[in-house]
Amino acid sequence: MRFEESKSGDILITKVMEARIGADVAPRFKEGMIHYLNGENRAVILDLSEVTFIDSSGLGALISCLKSMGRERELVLAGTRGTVASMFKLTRMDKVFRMFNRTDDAVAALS
Amino acid sequence: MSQIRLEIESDLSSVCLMAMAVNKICVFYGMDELEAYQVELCVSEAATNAILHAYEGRPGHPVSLLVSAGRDALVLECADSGKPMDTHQVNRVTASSPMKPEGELLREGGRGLEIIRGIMDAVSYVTNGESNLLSMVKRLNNRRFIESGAQ
Repeated sequence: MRFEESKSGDILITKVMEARIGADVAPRFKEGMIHYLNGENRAVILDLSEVTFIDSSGLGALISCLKSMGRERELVLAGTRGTVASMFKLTRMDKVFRMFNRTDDAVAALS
Repeated sequence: MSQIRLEIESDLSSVCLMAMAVNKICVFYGMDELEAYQVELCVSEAATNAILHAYEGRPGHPVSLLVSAGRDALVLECADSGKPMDTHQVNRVTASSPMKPEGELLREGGRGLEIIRGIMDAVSYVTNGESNLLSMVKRLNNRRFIESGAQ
């Protein structure tokens, strides 16, 4: 699972560099994300702009990541494409995750 | 009625091949990007369920999908010969309001059948002890293409 990372102050921006997060890669996605979530960053922005497909296993991995952040730190999503965003709405995950159109919007909201 | 049968082995890395093929079939029959994505998602969920639950993750077993295009609907029948769903799971496939209460939003699994039921126009499940069949129906709204000759 490939990621790209950058920082904006104490906010970590992690970009998923894979097109699909299905059941075959969800465990590796979760492992990769835990590496980023275990840091000292106050918040993590997960950039999903390269992701064209996510299934319920991918959603489950995201929820696991969210839980691992605890109450003091935040995981938000950015750049979700329309089709993928529809999945979040269908499963009501849009009520669980804060979602932003662009990473810049997320950085501004978290700063 | 036009038909195609797709088959993969019970390997999660093959599921995307079946699902992406169905996406293209949906586009051919006039679905827009979102509808085609949603049907692709349902196929992915159905095949993943067959591999993880019916075959309990064991490789080397067939998961087949028969896609039938009629005048006004696409019918997708996902078959496996593994362990059948239990009554609780079957009820979740056929329930009219399959989504779980909001308090359960943070659960990490068990959404596949709900997603299928939320997207498809009709869903049914039958088992005869040897094979299991999950049938999913999606109406085709783009009648212009269908009426122009695709039967």
